[in-house]
Amino acid sequence: MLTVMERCFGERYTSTVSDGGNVFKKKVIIAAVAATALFGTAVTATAADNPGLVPKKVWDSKADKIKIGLVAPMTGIFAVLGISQRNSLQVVADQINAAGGIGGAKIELVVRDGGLDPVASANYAKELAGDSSINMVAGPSISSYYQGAATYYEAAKKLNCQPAVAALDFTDYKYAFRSQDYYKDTLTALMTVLQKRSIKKFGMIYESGPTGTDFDAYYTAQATKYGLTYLGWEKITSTATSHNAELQKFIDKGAEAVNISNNAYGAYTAKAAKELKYKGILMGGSGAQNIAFHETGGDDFAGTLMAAPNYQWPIRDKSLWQPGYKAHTEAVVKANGFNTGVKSGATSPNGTAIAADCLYAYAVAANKVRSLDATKVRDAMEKLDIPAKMTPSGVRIHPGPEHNLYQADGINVYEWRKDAKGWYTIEVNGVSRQAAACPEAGWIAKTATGSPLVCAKVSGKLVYRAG
Amino acid sequence: MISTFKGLNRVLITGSLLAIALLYFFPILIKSSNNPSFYLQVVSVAVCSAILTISLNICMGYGGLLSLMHTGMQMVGGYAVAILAVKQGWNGWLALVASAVIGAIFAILVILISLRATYLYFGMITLAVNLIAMEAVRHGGELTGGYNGLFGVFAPGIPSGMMSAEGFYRVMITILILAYVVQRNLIFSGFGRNTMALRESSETATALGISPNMHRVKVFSVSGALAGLAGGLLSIQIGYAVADIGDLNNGLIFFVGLFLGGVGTLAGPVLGVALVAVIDFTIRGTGQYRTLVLGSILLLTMIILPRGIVGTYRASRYGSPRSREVMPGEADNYHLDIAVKNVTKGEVLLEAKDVVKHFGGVHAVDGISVQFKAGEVHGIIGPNGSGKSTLISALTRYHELTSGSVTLLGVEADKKPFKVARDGVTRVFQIPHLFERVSVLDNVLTGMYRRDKYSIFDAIFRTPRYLKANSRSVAEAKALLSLAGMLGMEELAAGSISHGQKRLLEVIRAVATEPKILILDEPATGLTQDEMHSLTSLIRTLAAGGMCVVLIEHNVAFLMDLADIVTVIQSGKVIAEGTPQAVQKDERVLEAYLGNTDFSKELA
Amino acid sequence: MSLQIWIDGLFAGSVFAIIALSMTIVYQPTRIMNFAQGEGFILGAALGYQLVGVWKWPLIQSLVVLVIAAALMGFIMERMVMLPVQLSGSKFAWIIATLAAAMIFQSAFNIKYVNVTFSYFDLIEKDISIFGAKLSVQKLLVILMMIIVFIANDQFLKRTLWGRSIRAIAHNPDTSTILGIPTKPVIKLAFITGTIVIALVGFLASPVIIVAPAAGLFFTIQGFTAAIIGGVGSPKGAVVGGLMIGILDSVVRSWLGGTWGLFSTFFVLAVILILKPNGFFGKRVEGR
Repeated sequence: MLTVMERCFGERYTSTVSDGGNVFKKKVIIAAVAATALFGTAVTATAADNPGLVPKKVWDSKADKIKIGLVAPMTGIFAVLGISQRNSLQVVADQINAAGGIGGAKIELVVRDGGLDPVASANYAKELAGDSSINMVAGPSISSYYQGAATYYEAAKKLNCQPAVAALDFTDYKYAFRSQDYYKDTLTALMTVLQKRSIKKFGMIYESGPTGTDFDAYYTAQATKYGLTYLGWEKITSTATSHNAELQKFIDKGAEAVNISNNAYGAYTAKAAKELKYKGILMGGSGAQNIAFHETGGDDFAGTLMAAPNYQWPIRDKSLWQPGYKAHTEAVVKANGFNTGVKSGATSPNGTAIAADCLYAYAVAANKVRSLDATKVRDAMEKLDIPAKMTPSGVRIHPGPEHNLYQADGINVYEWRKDAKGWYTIEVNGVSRQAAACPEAGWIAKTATGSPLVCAKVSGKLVYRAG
Repeated sequence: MISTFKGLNRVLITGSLLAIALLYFFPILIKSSNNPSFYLQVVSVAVCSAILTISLNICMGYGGLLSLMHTGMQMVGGYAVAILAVKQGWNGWLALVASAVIGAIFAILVILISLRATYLYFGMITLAVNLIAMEAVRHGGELTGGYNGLFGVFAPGIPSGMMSAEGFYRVMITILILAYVVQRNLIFSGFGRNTMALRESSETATALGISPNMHRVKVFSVSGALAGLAGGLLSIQIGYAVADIGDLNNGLIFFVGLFLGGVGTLAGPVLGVALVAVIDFTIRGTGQYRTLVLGSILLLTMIILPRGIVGTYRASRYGSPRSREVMPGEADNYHLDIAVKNVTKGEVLLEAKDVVKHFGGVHAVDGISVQFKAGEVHGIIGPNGSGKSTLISALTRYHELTSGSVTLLGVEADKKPFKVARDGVTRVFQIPHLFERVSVLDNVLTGMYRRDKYSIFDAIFRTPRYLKANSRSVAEAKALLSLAGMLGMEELAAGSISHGQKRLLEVIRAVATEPKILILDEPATGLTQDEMHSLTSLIRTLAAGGMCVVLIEHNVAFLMDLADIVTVIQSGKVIAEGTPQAVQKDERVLEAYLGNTDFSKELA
Repeated sequence: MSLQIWIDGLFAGSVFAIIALSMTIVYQPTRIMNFAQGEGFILGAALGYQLVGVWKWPLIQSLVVLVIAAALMGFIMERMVMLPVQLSGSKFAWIIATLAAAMIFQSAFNIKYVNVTFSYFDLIEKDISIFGAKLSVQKLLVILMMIIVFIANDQFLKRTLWGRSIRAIAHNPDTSTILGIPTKPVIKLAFITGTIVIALVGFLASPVIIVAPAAGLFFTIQGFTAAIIGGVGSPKGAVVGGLMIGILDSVVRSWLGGTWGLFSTFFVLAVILILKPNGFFGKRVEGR
């Protein structure tokens, strides 16, 4: 029981709700990306796919149903994780069904509540793995449970897509895809921004657990490459009702930035920063879109860095949103509403678009090979390259052999700001997004200093102009 | 009626055998279903849960020990297998045996440090230990795989094709049946009777010579071994060991199963877990409403079936045992040598010198010297609050003496109450302290515990040594019951007999311990004329056999008739001692009780 | 070690102390450690969020509704727990009954507020400085509430007829019934007041500590730990135990690092129970 408590405020999966966003983009093309080269994960996309916002019926599968399984905590401390995944999956399923289904087959979700119970999660993973009528599974969403379930999936050749497993190397699994930012990409993006801002020392306040362990190891190994001194990891647990002590230690050591937890725990660090009037930078992953952080951090939360896949929700001018992201998010809000922080007025939608990408990518791949066979769809998914403007998350999907739906170029770094109208973000990508060429009017890129460039047609020629 | 009962029993036995057969053939039955591996897993996990719940039942249901660390024991067992089989490369079967051993060791360590804690506090220590164990595993580095746990735990031989999932499943079913048999054999043996005696009243168990601490250690270690084994099996079944398995929240199924089936019943845990597994399976599609549905079902069941399925059945007309008809002349089959061995009549068995017991400023016993001799009935009288009961508690070491000494057969009496009992001093309390939920026969048999010279293992495996000892004990117990005119009531729950019968039964149970000194605190209260007669003749028989019977009584007529010697106590001091006749005429006694009309009346 | 650490610990300890006090209130006449007690804390936090935060109701009005809602919850909880306990003969029935009640309430909160953390603005946005250390007025309110609840409970038990009844029942329920003390209404009252107390602290503390809808059990266990360290059934023990785990956690985290906080709490719990098996101020507890 205690562990539950232990997880009340914190826990051990990484980012829950992540979409992604870019303030200035109209249509985004991510052209040359430094980070891609850095990790050698560049996928040479052949011809980009063009499935549209909702994949239409283009073939006859002769099946009447396509079942998508989801094992996630639907109850208890982490219920928000499972429920937002289900919300987004359901929206995509409804949209595809309305457009004729996948090869005429209607999509049906099969949801199982794995709670925080490794045994129940294993049972349900086995159920969904063993049921031949299930076409793809998402979850279990807790990394360590997933590691156990992966064996079942591999043995049953069951296609699965993981929207909440940040760690683990997916090249080990033949049938698994990750629809989340890979933590190394996220941390790299953050360190790049720190370097650009001439920051020298930073630390991390994170709950003890596998995610914190991975982060800590990566920072320890990589910080010096960015001219940074990593001051270490202050571990936190559930009994903490304040992070003042942890933050004070970093203040004493002269930390100019602190990496905060992606989970509700981060809210305590935000609160500590407010109480201690911390002058440095808070930074986090997609968890920093959690409005609890704004609630506790108050106006002092402004300036916080957030490295996440596309998250355009805080952009007030919706016409700037990625079309796919916009369509998905609006449908999610229509079906499930959005949250509002009573204190800060910050908002967030009740869904997680990265989970939606799982089903969207599956539909596109199945349509492409005109088959529901797991191996064939898997091969097709590997080769997908769907532009960011179409996907529900607004992030380009191009998994490649590593089976990460998003590559390093899918990570944006945002900075939270607040004005009279409320909270919004600006993009502060450290990774240079300067496009080699200006391919189409309206496309966006960045200068080396991060200012936006808009591709425009000037006297018949495509050139970049300041955005 | 009796035939209905037997008929129903036959149905139950046939039903159980069918259920076992069904379980064994389950993999074949589901072979052509749409998801055989899932159904097999669900049942396998339920089997692990059933083993764990049996362990919980032994501990909580029979032992009365509140354990909130059974999930932790399960986790420890799981890691034992994972570490030994996967990391150390042990043979899988050996690792499973080790999981039971490590589970037992874990349990022993915990109970050894918490022997002084009672009930709720013991529960809280187990809760704390559970959390500490989980934290320790999470921070166990390489050895435990930290937060991620250990993966790749397989059934012994599975990767090399030696054993199929179905084969391992059958092994698990067999282990479950064995666990059930272990539970049953233990509960029906002297070990089980002592366990239940402790559950019902630690004080009374002590009076019968049972060492509460030693016995608790044994109960908890058996429970730990079973829980460890269940954990080992579980980690093989799901393929990994992770700290979250220890989370008490994830162990709700065990508590729910135990209560649904019937806590403190043999079949309860298995039936309950089976039912919970079915419910959980049925509602698995309810998603975010799952815990709401589960919680509501649980609460409703608690209200509709507060004693659980088996408990309700046992309490019902069909399930509750009834008295049997006694064959004419049956009593002649049971002979009993009631004589106390190695004692000569008139020998001083117990001698108290200047015993003083103060509670703060209250001088409850203020310098009493008394001798109890073999073959005599020794009465102790005195008004309420005069210190009679305190004296007895002091003599039997339930209270520590403020000063003075107690010698037993010429040797300083041991400081522990259960040792005093073992040395031949058995007391019967003023308030009935029967083991109410246990049968009449088992109550008597509990008193015979010290004669049973067999070990836990003899009991579990029903060795000839156990069988011989057991049949002898049962015959003796029946002989004792016959002496009190209670033959035929053996199977009745002790709680269901009349008040007078309870008092008699308690005396018989005390006699069963073969005491040299039997101390009865107001045994005649509330007895009918007939029962009083039975008691009188019983006491006379015992004294004639060389036993010293100490009677603390308000019913002076009853006492004066029986006693050889009477000690009169007032305000913690002896004011007179002698034969009943002498005491009745004693000036000091009359003087002291002049104002006490009730007592004067009784004396007169 | 800075004073701030101790003050933070004092605040957290006060929260745990009030929770433990509310459990003591329920425990005294029932001898039940209520696993569903923490759900009352969530009720307070949820109503604070909903009434003051979302609907912007005035404080007084919100408090009135809060007290009524908490009383209702206490009333329902009493039935959910006591009915099965009275029907069942087992001395462990309370565990299942209170856990079932906890599951039901927790699910209800979680379904309604799945993606909300209950936190609204501080009632008074002000800090007090104590030798350089800061204490917000909101935190001070919680500390004061702890003192008030302790004194009020103590006076109630000593001076009122109901209070004396509770003490009598706590001492011996059977005799109390014989003496004509209305056991059942006293138990109802205990559940209702216990829930009101814990709901109030949930209301007051939720702007400071971030409360998730499913976190009830966490607060229950913290309350348990505090109550057990101090001695079950003793209000003095509840306060001492609560403050002890609050301060211990804060100090240890600052001294040795975060993960040692929880560890030390339970380690201390185990050690104390081994050395003092009935807690600091507790009496020996036998089974029901």
